Amino acid sequence: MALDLSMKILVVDDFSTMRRIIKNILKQIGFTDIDEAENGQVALSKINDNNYDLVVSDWNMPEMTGIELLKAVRANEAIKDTPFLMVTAEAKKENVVEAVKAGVNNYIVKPFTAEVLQEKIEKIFPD
Amino acid sequence: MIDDSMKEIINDFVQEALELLDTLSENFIELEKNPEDKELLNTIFRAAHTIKGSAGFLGFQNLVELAHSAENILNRLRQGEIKLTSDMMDYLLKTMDILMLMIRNINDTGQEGDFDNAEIINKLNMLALDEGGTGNTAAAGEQNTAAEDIEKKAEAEAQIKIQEQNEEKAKKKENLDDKDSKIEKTLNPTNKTNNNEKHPKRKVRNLGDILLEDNLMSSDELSQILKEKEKEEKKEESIEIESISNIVPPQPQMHPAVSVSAETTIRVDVERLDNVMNLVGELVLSRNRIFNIASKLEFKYPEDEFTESLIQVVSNLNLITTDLQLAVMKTRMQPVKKVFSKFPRMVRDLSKELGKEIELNIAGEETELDKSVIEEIGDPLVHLIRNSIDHGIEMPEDRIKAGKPKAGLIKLSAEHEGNYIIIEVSDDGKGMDPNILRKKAIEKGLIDEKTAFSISDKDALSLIFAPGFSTKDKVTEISGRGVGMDVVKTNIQKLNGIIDIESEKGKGSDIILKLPLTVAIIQTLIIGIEDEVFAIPLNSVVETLRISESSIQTIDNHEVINLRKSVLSLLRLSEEFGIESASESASDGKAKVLSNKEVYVVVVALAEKRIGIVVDTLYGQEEVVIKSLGDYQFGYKGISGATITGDGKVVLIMDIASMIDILQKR
Repeated sequence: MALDLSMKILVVDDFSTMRRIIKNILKQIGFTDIDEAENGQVALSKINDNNYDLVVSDWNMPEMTGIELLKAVRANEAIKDTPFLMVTAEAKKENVVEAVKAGVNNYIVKPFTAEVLQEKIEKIFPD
Repeated sequence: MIDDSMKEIINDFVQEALELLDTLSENFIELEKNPEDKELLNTIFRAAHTIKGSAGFLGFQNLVELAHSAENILNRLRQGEIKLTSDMMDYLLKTMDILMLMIRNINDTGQEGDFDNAEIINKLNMLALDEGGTGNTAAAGEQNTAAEDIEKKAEAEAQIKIQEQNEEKAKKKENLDDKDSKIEKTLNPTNKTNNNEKHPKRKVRNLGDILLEDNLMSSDELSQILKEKEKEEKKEESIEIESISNIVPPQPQMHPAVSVSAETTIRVDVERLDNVMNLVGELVLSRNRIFNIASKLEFKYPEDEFTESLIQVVSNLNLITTDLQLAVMKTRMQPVKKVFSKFPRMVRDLSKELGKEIELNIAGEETELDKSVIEEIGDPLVHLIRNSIDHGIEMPEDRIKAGKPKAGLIKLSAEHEGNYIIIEVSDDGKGMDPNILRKKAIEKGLIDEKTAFSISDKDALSLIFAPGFSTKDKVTEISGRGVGMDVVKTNIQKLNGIIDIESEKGKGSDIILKLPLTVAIIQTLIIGIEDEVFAIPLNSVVETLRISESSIQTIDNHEVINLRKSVLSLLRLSEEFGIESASESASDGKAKVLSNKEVYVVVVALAEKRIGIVVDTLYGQEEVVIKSLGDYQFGYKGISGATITGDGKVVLIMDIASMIDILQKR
């Protein structure tokens, strides 16, 4: 599977260390065009302004959770198709169900390695 | 490749995690007051969760385990499954302490170190289970393991899948493709648009597709979920349409402001800021010089057009420099909250330990001051507050007897006053008795009897700052080591700050710290002694007096004056610095120091001490940059550095601390 490494990616997390870690891992995979946002509101406006090929967002954030962000994205005609990878600490059944309902494209459990992340992204974009 | 960026990330993690823990301990205290506060519980939970999450990435396994146990309790608390107990709070706070230690250790060594947390983890897990009652607990436990099972299963299967995928996929493919397309339509109609509008090149799969493909969910299960989703949506539709139209449209307008704020903070090495500050200092010196020269030119060539434009440019430069200086100073400012935030926890722990009831009231924590000052005031404040808890506030029964509310009150406040910050620690405890302090000081041999009773009550209060002074007969673990208040004095002195104590027996004590906002560029009072010019830091100047030489009295060979019923010791710098008196040399007729002549006394204060410096001339106020004299400061006590004034002269800056020392040693 050849991943398109020129994809424009937005990393959303309220903890800047975590944004850096995820950015670092994305870079390890070979992505170069990575942007970040510190909360759902900022993310939403950035997604509106930029045409991202993928959003990698934390689930558990204050003010606006990852799911709320996703719902807002899906509810906005102009950006509703933005692929969305949810980062979560737990993959309990009810979480997965909620993610499916909200229209998540894929999820990944923390902590993860570059290999796992790559695989999760590849799943979203089949050949 | 990973090494350098890893180090940076770990640094970031340490910083952020410590900040989080700081606010956490504050949140916990808040929580103890409002144990049902869902919002607060969520915040606390999220913080533990966040630390756990990033620690996991960085491979700090011990940290993850401990944070995980805390997170467990917190999660059950926020779900309302268990109730917060005092015992639980103690252990949670202890956990925060250990986390803090571990993270500090990571900061120092790059490794999480050998912490054996088995015991506390055990206790936390017990607490998480115990509280809800057995029936509840078992259910919750099951739920947990069930959930974990799914998690594990998912992960394990994902792993196996990677290896087996190829063959399996080949088998399943036709089957799946068929399912996929059906489900896709129901699952997410947006998928279609995905393929044409924005991402024309890419096909995109949904989580549902992926779960199916990986056999993590059966198609029946998935359609079930999707049906539920549809149902939910229909139910919500009527409301949602409204709320979405309410929520979504305003967002575009928010963009500019919000997206700008996203990128506005960066972390800067303090060294760089120091460097900028130094350069601004140099600029201030040059500005002063130009300002001085320009005014001389204006005097010499008043009508000249070039002079006029020069004056204009110079006053502009003046404004800009002042603004620049302020701006640079602000980059080094931090809210005093950074220090204050640890006190609620301290007060809680100590009052619990002593069996006292104490409420801590904090005001003005957003007040900002220089980073270097922030770093120095932590310890003094710890001691002052400990002192209030230990010596100030009485036991609840004593308070009731005295007709006071059962719970004692300690107030901690910060506010700006001109170029100073005023920090005040006050309590409504039993106050201090000057006579008891006098007796103690005599007993400890810190002061002789005669002096003890000649000093004013106010000065007697200052005795608590004498090294080796402790009024409690029994040394308590909290503040009775007899070093505490001495530390307060030393640190405040270091910052050129002033300490003021007020205390009324039975009513309480009030300790006021007055600190300069910054240290490098200071306002000074330029004074003259004979023909020599000196600068006295304005921070330390309390007032200036004009007195007649005849009002100076001599007690025990000390020159003193009586200032508003308090005895003020005087220091003559002409003696100290060996400045030849003009009246003695009689080389000019300007002799000012004659017994009936008037002289100026500059009253200076440092920490709790006040003295008067006798000077001949007051020239005025000037902003100066302190330059260290380094090796050239050959043995002169009383000088802290030098500066260049506007007229290009090198002027020595007095060191008030050593002046006071000189006077005391006599």
